[in-house]
Amino acid sequence: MKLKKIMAVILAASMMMSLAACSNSTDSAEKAPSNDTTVTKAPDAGTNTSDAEEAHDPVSLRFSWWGGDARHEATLAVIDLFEKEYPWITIEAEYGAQDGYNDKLMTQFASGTAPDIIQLETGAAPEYYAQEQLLDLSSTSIDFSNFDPTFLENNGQFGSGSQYAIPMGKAGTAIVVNKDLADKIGIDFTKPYDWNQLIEWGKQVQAYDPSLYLISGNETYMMPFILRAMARQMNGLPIINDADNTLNMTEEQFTQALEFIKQLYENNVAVPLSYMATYGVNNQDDPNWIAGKYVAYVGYTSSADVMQAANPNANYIAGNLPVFADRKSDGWVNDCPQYVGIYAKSKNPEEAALFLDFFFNNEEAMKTLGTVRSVPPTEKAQKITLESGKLNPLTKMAVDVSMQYNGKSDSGKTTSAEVSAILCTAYENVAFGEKTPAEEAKEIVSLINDYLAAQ
Amino acid sequence: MKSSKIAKRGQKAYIYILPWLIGLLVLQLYPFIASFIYSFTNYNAFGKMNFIGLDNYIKLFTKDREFYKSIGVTLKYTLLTVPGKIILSLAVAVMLNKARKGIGIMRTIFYLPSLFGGSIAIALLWKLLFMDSGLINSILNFFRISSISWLGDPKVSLVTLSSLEIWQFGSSMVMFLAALKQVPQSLYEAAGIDGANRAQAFFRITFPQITPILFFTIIMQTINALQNFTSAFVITKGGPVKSTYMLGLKLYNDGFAYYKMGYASASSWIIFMLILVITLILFGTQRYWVFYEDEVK
Repeated sequence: MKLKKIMAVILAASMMMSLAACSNSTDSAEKAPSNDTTVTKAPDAGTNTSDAEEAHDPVSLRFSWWGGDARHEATLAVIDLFEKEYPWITIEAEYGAQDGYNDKLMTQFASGTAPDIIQLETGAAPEYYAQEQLLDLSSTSIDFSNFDPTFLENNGQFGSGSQYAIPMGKAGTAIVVNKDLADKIGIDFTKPYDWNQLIEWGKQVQAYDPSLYLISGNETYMMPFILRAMARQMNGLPIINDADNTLNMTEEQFTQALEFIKQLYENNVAVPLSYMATYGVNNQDDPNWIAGKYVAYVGYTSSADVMQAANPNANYIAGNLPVFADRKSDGWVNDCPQYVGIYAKSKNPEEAALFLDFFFNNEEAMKTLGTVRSVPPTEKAQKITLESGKLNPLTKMAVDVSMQYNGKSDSGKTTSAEVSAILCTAYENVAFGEKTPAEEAKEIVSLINDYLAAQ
Repeated sequence: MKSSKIAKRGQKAYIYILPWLIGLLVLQLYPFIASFIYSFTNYNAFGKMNFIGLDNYIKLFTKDREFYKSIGVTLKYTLLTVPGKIILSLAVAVMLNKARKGIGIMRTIFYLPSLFGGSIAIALLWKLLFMDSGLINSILNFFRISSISWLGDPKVSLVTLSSLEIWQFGSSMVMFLAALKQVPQSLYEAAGIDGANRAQAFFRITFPQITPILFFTIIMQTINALQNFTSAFVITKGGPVKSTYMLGLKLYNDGFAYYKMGYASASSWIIFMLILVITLILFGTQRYWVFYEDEVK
């Protein structure tokens, strides 16, 4: 029995050690998104007759992205097209849902095993650039002549003057409105309106039928919709001034913004977060959305078609976006839904550049991709998509709406994972009524200052 | 001659334990030591690293409010799951111990959930079951009970996660079953002659006899619960309002989402110390209630 005691001590000790020793390898295995798929596409050798194929050693590249089924299918089809044209290059596709995408990428960066070609979240890309994980694309063979130079400068250069990431589409915040329902209740999203109008409309909806809500919005999208947009409208600037590591927003301004969030949930203008929580950002799965119980959905132009497809019986339009009457800037931004970049440590940067050049400049590729990453980023691709009938009218309307505002992107420290988490926590605490707007505003200022001090 | 044979056998033994040894050195000892070193640096996983002394630890205790909240959540989770699991597994084990027919099948069925361990698939299943429009609420609605926001209500969410852990009670149950089988029948017979009833027999004979296994199970389950990560990560992401933000998840977020590997390493060492202290306390209590036969004087 003494032996049992000793065994117990040894076992207990080794189990405890396993936590402090939580290694990268176990983590990356555990945290990979469950619906992640890795498919190796075999090169279609026989199809290319050019004699160039003899001269090249076979090269294999990895390309990772997130998205829904339509995006996966179109992207895989473009990979097929590319491999037919460049038979010595094989592209391994690594795709899945957006859940956990950044976490996985982070472990890959840390271990030096990131894919050669990487789709990047706009909020996270500045950090990857700062950590020197992205290749300078201006030094590669990629032809950027189809892009609008200002659009490129604002999206993916991170102030460096060189292109480190390519915007994959044109996008912005979108309010997808169920027009039939809005008309029935007497709500008009096509005219300009201010933030308080949303609260009034919300009350109107509840008075019409208490089982209906004005806004369906998940926390991940609602936080930037309110806090970051209000900041840009109040000051014409992002929440954080990246150059000197200071806050542009004051505590009073945060209180004002959080007060709005409180109103939103106290008056049942927006669907309670406790209900939204289980759907994450997959709001097309919400049975109430499918049943047409919400007047509007707050999201991005890139997901407009997905939301539309979930309930095809309704007529949808893209609504205008709320603004303060005394704003310094409209705040709403036309930027891109995601970037694509090449890993700085890629062993085959030339081939990766060949692929991206094909991806953005080949007409067949443009036609195949359509709007699976929102409206295409180049004029030429937009024209081709329109002509082929692949430009979803709702997506186009949403992008057109977002282009009428003059806001500037706040991509940078404001959009970093840690600051976003601080703001989301504050949003949640106020929405659940756990803390008052004033308490949370104080907390945000203190936490962001801590974050900035460590930069 | 003889000694060289023994030496040869000794060498062979090393080859046999080599896989385990390599695993221990590479997957346990190396990260264990590395995380200790990282905890004194501002390592961000991209390569840059400066030694900053005890700053990470000081920040954890003085500035990080989420850290205290996470400790609270983790302890609450442990207090919910460990007793829940022990009581359920013991009760089922006692039941199965009495059963004569179909015990093999029943044992397998009860053991199955344990095999799934901390798997992502089971966590996703739990999420689907307990969603607002999930199966559990549908069943409640069928009996005209109104829906409960299992994952969205901060007061309920931790209980929902605990239920997943408690559901996987099979491995403790198998241990208890083995322990129950080892209790000598002669003791019960003697007690029967002395006129003891069933409750007396359980608390005076069965319980003391299985305390070593009970003690072992409590230790293992406590360590397990304090390290929980998967369910919080997959099902609730720590929400709502951080009500399920366990230490394991906070550590993960600090390291892999906010690029603060050094800071995360420091919190992993705090969790290690926390587990160590709790385990030592449990070991300290064993002489008051754990009965080892060889200690009878």
